[in-house]
Formats: sequence, C-alpha cells, structure tokens
Amino acid sequence: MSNEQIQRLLALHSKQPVGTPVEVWHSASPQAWPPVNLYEEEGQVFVCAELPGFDGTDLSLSVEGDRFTFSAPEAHPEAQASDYVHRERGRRGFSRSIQVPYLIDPDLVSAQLEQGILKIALPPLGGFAALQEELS
Amino acid sequence: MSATYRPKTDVLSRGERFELRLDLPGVPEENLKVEISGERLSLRGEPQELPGTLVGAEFGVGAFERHFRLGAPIEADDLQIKLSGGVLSILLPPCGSVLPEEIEVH
Repeated sequence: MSNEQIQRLLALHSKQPVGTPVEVWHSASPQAWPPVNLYEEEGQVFVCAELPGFDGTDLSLSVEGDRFTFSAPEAHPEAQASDYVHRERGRRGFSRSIQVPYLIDPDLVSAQLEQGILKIALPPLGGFAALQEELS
Repeated sequence: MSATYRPKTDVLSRGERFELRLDLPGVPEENLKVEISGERLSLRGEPQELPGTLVGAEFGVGAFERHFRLGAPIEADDLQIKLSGGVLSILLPPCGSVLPEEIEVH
C-alpha cells in the first residue's frame, strides 16, 4: 500500500461518516470534536453529544439562525504525564456547529448535561406545526 | 449482552496502587457490572437508552465491555469505585501491574 493510499484511508476514517459500522466507531483515532447523535421525539429534534468529564461551566453554547454551536476550551491535565501507565483518553478543546434545515428559536433552546451526555432541544422559530405547513 | 464498543481507558500509577479511568458517557451506575475473577477484572454495561428515534448517529449506542489482566489476584471488596460525569474511576488495591487485554482477532 502506498503512502498516498494510507493517507486517503486515514482521511476517510477521521471523518466517520454516518453508516460506519458501530464496531469501528470507538476504536477509531481520537476525534478533535465530540461525536453527536440526532434524535427525534414528538416533533422535536434533539442533539446529544458525548462529553465525559466535562462540567456545564466548561461549555459555551450559542444559536445563530439555523446553526447551533457548542465549544469548550482545552482542559487542565487530569494527571501528570509520568503517572500514565496506559493512555487512551484525551480531553482537547473543541468547537462544533450543527446546522439544521430551519431557523432555530433561540428563546426555546434547552440544554442539559447528565452523565457526560449533553442533550439539546433545537425547536424551530414558530414551532414545528408552522414548519410542516411550510413544507406541505 | 453482546458488546459493540470498548470504552477509552487510562491506567494511572498511584503509589503502590493503580487507578483505572474510563469514559462511560450515558452509563448509569445500575447498568454497570464490575467483576473480578482471580487476576482478571472485567467491566461490562450499557448506556441508558436516550428517548426518541435515532435519526443520525456518530457514536455507538450498544453495550460495552473491557477486560484487564492484573499482576496479582484481588478481592472485589477492595475496589474503590466512583462514577461521575460519565467518567468511571476504579482505584485498585496493590496488585503489581495492570494490562488492558487486547482484542482477539479471529
């Protein structure tokens, strides 16, 4: 396998497209941003992000138009480098934006961080009923 | 329960002891199983199911397991376990060494 092919493979895996088998997600190289899942419940869209070890006070959340952004700065190291016998975890700073196909109502956005999962509701301006009417 | 992922783990030296730290976002205490069998420590569990229908996924939603080979047998009662903010910490009694077991390739 050539260097170029290896680079292409690495680039492919770092993007982790939807449809990648579950088995390889957690064994892939560390990502620079937290992975998210999208859920739909009773006409609401929820974004859930894996943020183990993060505090609510670490996070900055913002909404602009159709875009929701969440970010956190680089954390202080949990332990001295010499204490690590084996290391896989990492907590880097990140900034991640999620774009949805509608304008978000910033006054109705809600967020909760529980057990290292950030769950955010992103309701549309005017409600989902108005959005469905616009679509039909 | 068939495991779909291996949680990321650090092993830290704490004097004569070792501490394991695992990222387990979304896993409540009641869904976590810690087992000791001689010199083998096994962790198994499953995150709490999130409400609603999954419409897009970047992280796995199934069960996990991870095993560690210890340098000496220990008792489950001697473990100090704390689960907070999606991070599990296990302080082991002195046991000489801790090695994460590799995935077997079939």
